Amino acid sequence: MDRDLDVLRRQVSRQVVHWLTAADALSNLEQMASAGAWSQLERYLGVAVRQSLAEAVEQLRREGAVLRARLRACSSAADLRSVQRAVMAFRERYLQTETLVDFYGRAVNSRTSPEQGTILRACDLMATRSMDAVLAPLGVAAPRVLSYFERGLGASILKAGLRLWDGGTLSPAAAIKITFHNRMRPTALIHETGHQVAHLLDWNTELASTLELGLRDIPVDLQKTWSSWASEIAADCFAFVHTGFGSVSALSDVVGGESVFRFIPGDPHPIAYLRVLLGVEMCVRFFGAGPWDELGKTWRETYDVGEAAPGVRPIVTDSLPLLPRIVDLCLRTRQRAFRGRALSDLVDPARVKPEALSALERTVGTSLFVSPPWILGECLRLLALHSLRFAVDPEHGVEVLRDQRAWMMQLGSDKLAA
Amino acid sequence: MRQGVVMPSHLDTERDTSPVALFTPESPFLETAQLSQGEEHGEHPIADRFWETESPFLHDIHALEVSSPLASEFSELLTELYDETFNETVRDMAAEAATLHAQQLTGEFEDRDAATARAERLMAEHFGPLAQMAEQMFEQFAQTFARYDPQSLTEAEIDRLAEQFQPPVGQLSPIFEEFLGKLFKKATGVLKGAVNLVKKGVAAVGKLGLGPFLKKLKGLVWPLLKRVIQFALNKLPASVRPLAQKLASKLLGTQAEAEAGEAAGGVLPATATGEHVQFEFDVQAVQLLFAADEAEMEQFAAESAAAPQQYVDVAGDMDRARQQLTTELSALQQGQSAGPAIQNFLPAALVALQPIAKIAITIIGRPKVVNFLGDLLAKLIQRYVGAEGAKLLSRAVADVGLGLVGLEVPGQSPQRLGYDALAATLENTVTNLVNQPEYVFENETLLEAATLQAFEAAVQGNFPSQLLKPQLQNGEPSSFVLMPRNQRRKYYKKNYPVREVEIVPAVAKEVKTFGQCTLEQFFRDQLLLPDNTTVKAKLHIYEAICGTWLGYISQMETNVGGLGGYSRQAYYQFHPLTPEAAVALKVPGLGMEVPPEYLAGREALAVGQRVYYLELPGQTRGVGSASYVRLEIDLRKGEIRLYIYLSEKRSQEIAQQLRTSGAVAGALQTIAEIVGAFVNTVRRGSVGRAVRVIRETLEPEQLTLPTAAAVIQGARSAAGAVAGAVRSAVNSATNAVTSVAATVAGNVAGAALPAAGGAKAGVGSAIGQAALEWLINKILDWANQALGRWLVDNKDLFIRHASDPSKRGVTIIITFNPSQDLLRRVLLATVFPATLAVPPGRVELVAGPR
Repeated sequence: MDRDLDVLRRQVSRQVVHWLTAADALSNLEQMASAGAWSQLERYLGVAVRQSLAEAVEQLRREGAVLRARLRACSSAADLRSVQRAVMAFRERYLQTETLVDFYGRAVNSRTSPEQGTILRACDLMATRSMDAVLAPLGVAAPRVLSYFERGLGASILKAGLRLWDGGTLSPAAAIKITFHNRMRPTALIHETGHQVAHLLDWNTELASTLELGLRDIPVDLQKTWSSWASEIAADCFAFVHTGFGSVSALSDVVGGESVFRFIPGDPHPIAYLRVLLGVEMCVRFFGAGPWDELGKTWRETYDVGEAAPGVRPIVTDSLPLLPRIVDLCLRTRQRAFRGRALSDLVDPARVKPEALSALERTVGTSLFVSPPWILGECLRLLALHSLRFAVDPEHGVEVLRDQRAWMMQLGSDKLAA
Repeated sequence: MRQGVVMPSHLDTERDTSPVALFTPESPFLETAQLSQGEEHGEHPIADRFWETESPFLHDIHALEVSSPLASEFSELLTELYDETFNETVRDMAAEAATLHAQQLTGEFEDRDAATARAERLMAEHFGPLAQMAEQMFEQFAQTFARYDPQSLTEAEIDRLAEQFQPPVGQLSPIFEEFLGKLFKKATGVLKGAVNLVKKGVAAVGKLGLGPFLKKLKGLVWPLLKRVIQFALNKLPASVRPLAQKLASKLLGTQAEAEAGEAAGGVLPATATGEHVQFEFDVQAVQLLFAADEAEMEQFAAESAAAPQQYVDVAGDMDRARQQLTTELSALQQGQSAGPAIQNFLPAALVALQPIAKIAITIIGRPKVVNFLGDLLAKLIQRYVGAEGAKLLSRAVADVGLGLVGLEVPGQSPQRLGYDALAATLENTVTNLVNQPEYVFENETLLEAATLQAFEAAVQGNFPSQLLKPQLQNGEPSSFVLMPRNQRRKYYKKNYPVREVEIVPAVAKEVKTFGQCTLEQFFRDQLLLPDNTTVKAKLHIYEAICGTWLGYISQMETNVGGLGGYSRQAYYQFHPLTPEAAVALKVPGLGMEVPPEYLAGREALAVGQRVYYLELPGQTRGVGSASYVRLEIDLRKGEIRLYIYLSEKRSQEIAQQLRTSGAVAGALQTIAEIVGAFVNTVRRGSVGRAVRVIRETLEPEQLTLPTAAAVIQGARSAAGAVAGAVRSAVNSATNAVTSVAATVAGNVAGAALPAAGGAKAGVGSAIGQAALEWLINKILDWANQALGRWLVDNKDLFIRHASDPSKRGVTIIITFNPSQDLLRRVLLATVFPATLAVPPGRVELVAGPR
């Protein structure tokens, strides 16, 4: 009997030691991301991320210590079986924490070189600036941003302040994925910060209601469909007010293709065909005629609505005449989230109108691209300007991206102001 | 005043029968050590202090007389060689070396000599490649220029020939490359000086050729780097020593005698500025040119090489003394006296401080004094001796928020914070005491009173405020803690808890920071925040101890956003916590008054000086340069040069205005604001290097390495030391001997305005100040008149320079050429012509700072 107990104890003990050792290993954050990559983070961000991960791992280890104590106290097979079950639960907890640490580890590790680190720091800064523009006047603090590069077509965000995989830790920063292909056209970054801002101000729900209310004269199904897209539209609007036509053009490059008419009920992403044309309409409504007209025309010509699935076709055709109204509802309607102001009141899209961007370039001259106060103060308009240039003059796209890289390297440099 | 305190009538060597044992000195602590939330603000013990600086103006007509042509040439060459940015490079280079080898340098060694030898070896290895490159550069100079006749060389040819020896890029670390660049500049400067002297028939180089001279110059490179090494190890030249003894007697007709520097305003400087590194090289280099022949040049070179290299480690010695004290205190049991521990500490601390505090050596040797102080202080801290007392103290420190920030280091006893606080209090008491005049130590009554006062101030600075009597508490409970917690060696103190602060634009406009800036300008020009931003930040407060340099604080505060590095960009974000700043930031009582020269720049702090750092969420950029105004009064050339540097932010704003509207009103308004800040700084007395008088005579100070205290504050640089001459001139002219402080560093004549609240500046100083104010106002008036028209005519030039991507900001240089006679009479304060108008001789604009 004692021998059986010893055997069982050894088995359970092995499992406990295994998972406890694994939990201990998680605390070595240098193993999850290289010291070099950590050093590429702004210090305040690195401290916050490390602290958050350390707390998550520490919590896990504390639970591990309890498990170990329980094992030591076992005096019967029943006790050991109970601990064995607890080990399984602990394993789950370990995996959750590992997912958490691994996620941030990979995000940090994407700063593989000083150059990558510098570009990503520039992205962090632009992201923060874009949020500040709306949040600061409302007295809300913008969260930290940890942007990272990853493969794929579209950007994404793990919003700050969300409860993470381990069920306890709150995400210490808005982790924004930027795809490799968009490294030098990061307008999607601003779309993602739009998600964060809408989340913080609870704008998504309000915008959904605004759309429903504003479109109450159309069939309910279509009305509901548009309101179900509110969160993505909100983010698109946010990107538009900050970066203008550049964001629309970049969006069209990402969502174009065979799936432009794909409609998945419940998916917050609007039908891509409509989404791009909504962006074009934003330009029309705020800027008048311009290069977006060409994009709209080509877009319509490239994608024949007749090719849309029969169930989707009416959604598209019925929506097209609504686009001007939808733009106004999203951008010009006063919202509680913005303390009674409209988004375009807080961030005036006229600042990123092509003429305004040209005027900026003309009045500041070459200093705009090399002088720290200008780069820092106008980084979002610089992004808008270069995205616009890339959109309207793709023949010189390589040069535009080279220039974009140059000022972003300055923006991300820790010696920017010196 | 101190009721209930029985003063001892005499000092006694027998501790058992000492009268000290018969009384209980009044302590500043609460009788019951409970954590209280007192609201009264204690009056700051040094709130009534005032500081004086010296007028840069000459009051003796004889002082304006031109000295011998040779001396004048010497002085001029030193002036031209002096490079302010060289000092910055030296500081950065030393900080990098110390940081890279921090782990090895802070390793624990039983044998101090072995540790020193190891540190020096490490540093020598670190700087080896740089030395090799630098010597190679000088060798190349020597080989090339040996082929040329100095009589026929022009400055342009020197530049052209030297160009090929520009330090290569990418072979050394960036800071080494920067240093080599500065050395290259010095080498070409010395060469040009040599050629000019040869043409005037002064230098023996004319006969010998440039080759031998440059080879001798090469021999000065390693001694220069050795000074950097010692500086990196926080060590200072031990004592006054002549640098160019023979030359001094030749040029000045007398043996050069250094004037002993005094600690400014009764405070101790915390660390050296590194200026002595350049100063010594310059003097040694230039004197070679004044050799009569090869033998004398050889002699000068040998004199330089053989100059005794004794260094002192003030901060290290103090730290070791404190550590020993902490160890001994922590070994005491409840009820045991701390007297013996303090008696061991006092001599060690006094010896450590002696190089910078001018303590009479005789005092240190007196057991009676040491025993008296030991017993007195032991009684004062008795309650906190032993494990229980230390625990109480530790808990009080932790109560103000330390526990939350993880400063309790694993492996350290929970009482450690308490012992550290006790040791820091005793150390502070000593640093507060050491500048007392010697007679205080001779009289037990005076000594006791001074000690109690020093102790009270020390307790206020080191004990958690909730343990103090209400009248000594400063607002919310807080405590200064020796940092960093995880190292034995301590470099600074930090105040806890860290507070949240909101600074509205109106307040930012009023709070002065270092130099000529206000917080508002710092936010806008240096942090590049939008105009009229209300700043919400975490307020981190620090205090300097012996050895504190802002770069260290910045480097070691790794958990504070925006800090964590020793670069200028990082430590330029600290601001002085003066009493005014403390009130504005809502931490009244935590401000600390310091002499104005410690507010002029961020290079030198006083022991006990407090600074703060504002941690802005997400604000991680380093800082750029602030706008400033400089004024040079060049008596040699009879010239006044006004430099108005517009920061990158300001110059871009102006350039945009000029591009869009073409109006210059905005530009003039911006310039007026910057000039206004300069005038305010002059009034404050912390103008530092912003007013510079270049003399036409050579002073002994230029040839002598100053005292360690003066080295610490900033060596008298080679560029025309005026302080000594001004002092004697003022004294002889006004007989106001006693009140003129002798603290102005080198060529920089701090403008003096009697501080508000009753300064007792001498008559001469007051007259000098009147002349200074009058002159500055006149110059600014003339400049203002000239600038409007100049800007209208030179818009394009301004825009072009502001757009230079390789430089940050622009400098407008306005040169006036008043007649020498007029300049002299104004400086002598004998004439203030009301209608005097001197139009600028020229206005220039250059990209970047000057």
